[in-house]
Amino acid sequence: MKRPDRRLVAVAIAALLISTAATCQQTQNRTPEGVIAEYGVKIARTVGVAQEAVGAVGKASQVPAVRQGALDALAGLELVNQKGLQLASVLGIINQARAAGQPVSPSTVAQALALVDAIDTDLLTAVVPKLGSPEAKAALDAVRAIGKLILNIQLQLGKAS
Amino acid sequence: MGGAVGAIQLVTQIAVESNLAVSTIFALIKGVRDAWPKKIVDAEGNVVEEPPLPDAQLTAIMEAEFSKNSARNAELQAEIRAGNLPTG
Repeated sequence: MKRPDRRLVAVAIAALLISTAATCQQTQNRTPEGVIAEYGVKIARTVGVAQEAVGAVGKASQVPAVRQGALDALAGLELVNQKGLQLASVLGIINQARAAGQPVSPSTVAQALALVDAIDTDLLTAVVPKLGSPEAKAALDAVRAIGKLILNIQLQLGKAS
Repeated sequence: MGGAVGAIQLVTQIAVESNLAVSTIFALIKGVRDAWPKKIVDAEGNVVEEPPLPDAQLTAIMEAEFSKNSARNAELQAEIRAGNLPTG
């Protein structure tokens, strides 16, 4: 059997080590607020998409009930926006504590998780029921995508059953 | 086309010389490419490395996005209300 060129093997091993090190860096344990912030950005952008879809339904429809449903759904999404802003504020407090090397209060983390749950509740009670018309299917799909992101947070933080 | 054939021949030769499978060589190359910091180009055309975003920056982006959403939400509601409905 032909002996492998040691230089080539060294290059291959170095490449393997570099890729492994980078992967480890990417998958290092994230803090709860890190998980929430990462998904929080995605949730915020998905809410933006959902708003545009709901707005398009309302503007396009000549049926008063559909227009009112769109208005109500937008009002529900605004509740989500306000809770999202509260959540960002709480995460900011946690970030400042970590940056200062101070312990993070468990109650502050719990507050952040409670806001995530509250956003989920708002979607289920104030948005989804308002999008029952056939014209609102695309908007409903966008709203459900937000719910999936929230579920990912809950799963990663061990909350979802 | 010639470049692609040459690349495949080179990878094959490396695999033979190093006694590693061709698929392993490709996997290693892909791993290095994926692990390398992604580069973006700014407005001046300068290449800028894209580091992973820290939590504080993610939080700031989150706040900005929700604020933008809130403003846009009000606009959309106004646009819906301003739309003309058929009379009668």
